[in-house]
Amino acid sequence: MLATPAYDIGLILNQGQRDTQEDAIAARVSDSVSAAYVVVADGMGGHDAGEVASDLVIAAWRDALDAQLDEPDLPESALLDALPLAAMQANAAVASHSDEHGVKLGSTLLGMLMLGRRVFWISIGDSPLYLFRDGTLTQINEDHSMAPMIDAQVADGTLSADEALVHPDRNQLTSVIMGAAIPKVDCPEQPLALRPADILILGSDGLQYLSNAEIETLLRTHVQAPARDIADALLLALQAKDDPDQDNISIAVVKPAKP
Amino acid sequence: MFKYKSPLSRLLEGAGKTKDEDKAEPEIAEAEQPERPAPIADFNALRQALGGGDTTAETYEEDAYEETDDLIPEDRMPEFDEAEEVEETIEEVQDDIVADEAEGDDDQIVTLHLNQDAAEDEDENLFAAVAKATADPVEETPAEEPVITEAPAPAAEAPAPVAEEVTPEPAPEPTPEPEVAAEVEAAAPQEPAATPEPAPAPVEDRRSRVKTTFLGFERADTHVQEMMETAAPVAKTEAAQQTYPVGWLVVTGGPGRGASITVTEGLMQIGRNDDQAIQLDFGDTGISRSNHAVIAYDPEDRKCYLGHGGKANLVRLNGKPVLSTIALSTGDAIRISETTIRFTAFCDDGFDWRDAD
Repeated sequence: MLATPAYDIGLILNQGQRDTQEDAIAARVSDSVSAAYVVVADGMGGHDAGEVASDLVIAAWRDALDAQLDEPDLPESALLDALPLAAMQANAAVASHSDEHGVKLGSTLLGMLMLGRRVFWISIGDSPLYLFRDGTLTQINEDHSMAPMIDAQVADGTLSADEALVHPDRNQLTSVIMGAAIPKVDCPEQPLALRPADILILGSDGLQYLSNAEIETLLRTHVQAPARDIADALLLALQAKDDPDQDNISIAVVKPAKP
Repeated sequence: MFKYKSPLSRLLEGAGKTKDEDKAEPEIAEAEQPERPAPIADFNALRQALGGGDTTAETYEEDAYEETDDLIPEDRMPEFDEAEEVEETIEEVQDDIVADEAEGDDDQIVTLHLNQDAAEDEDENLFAAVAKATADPVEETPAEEPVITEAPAPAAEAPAPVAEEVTPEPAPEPTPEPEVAAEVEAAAPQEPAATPEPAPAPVEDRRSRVKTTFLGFERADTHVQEMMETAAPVAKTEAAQQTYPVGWLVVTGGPGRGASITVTEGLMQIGRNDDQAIQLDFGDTGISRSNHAVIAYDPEDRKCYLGHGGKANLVRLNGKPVLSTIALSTGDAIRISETTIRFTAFCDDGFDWRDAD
């Protein structure tokens, strides 16, 4: 008998208006242990670099996590340790590629592991992880870009909101996987406890061509829809904006499956 | 002076570049071999020299024979009780605070470092125990005996290795002989009441220790006083060695809870093996034998840094995985496998051994 999947997951990868696809995304559901993961990597470095970087990150993640998930008697601590270890392996892989080919490349890593109703994640860079709960959208991972600092200046009154939005350093990353030291990592020890009506959204920063308010509004109207339809709706909303500079888009929508 | 920095960064770089974790281990170990053991070996040699020179030489010179004995565990002490009651009782207090090490109680945590049985008879072993108690594995303990017998010479010699091998600048501080001797005299009896710190810093602390000891005696009827009168004497584990600490680590959770380790300058590897500067061999086999993590002091910004050892070994700092070097500050919790260690800084903006006194 086939087990009912514990999670409803929808994934979308779209190139946007860019010449290359430097995002990468992957997911896996393991029914045997009621576990699932979703991983998003937003590469940078241009042709032959950014796409390689994000692929390396996804590969490192899958190596680390699949090895654990395929283990029959899986100690949970080993599974949780796989998150940072995946990041270290990814960083090592990016470093050796960078050395061998003499290119500069980097990638974000947003990896989320769900065990039952517990959500663990590791995040390095600016790929957002949103929680939609009780009609409100919140980004729950750290944003390792200058944006939070610039927004803080708005709160201070030292910068206007309009200036902040077009600030040249806004997308400057403060932590990234590029084969060097990783200054910041977001990897909470305590998991988020997922509720049946929650929706999790993972993305690359291409998704953030929609404002949080726009995403929130869209989710409110699609709260009952399957994950796949929600992902589609988000992509359509982005395409409706028709931004000539639209970055690569990764979208993952995760809902706990209805019992 | 910054020699150890490059090994650390090389190590971490190497960690970043090794793709395959199985391969990574031998590769790193071999590649870095010439670099890394060096500081630690030096430290051991240094400690041996200091273990003998510091504790004996100067006191002999000052013809204070009793104080030499002060450094020997308490078994031998009772005869001095009448003569030097003050000093005795204070030492008891120190030992109570530092780690309750009743003689012969082999179950005490600290006995992992201290060879109690041996400590009972032979001076040689006593000093071996003392040396071990500083947390660094020191294997060639007999080497200290000559130092003890030829007391006057090491007085001058002992500080010198410190200068050359570990920290160039602190050298001037310990070398002035009369001053150090005076301080040892003053510090040995008085520091315990003032500071429960396991590794006294004789050079710097004379004044503060005198002061705080006074304070201690003013509150005559505190529980400390009570303890002094009632508690059984315990073996002294830490001689007044010049370890030049930059900070301390105390195991606060998991196997080895209660053990403390002095952090000194140089690249200190954390592992289970006895060649590890920070040896955590208390039964947590989730800790790698060698180089699970590293701690190094950067004299430039006066901070200790924590890095992972480069293998598939996780270290968490305050719950977050350490993916590159991170500065440590007092109160930080380092977790390796099931073992939690709390860090306390000694050197900081207010003090570094390079500072002029």
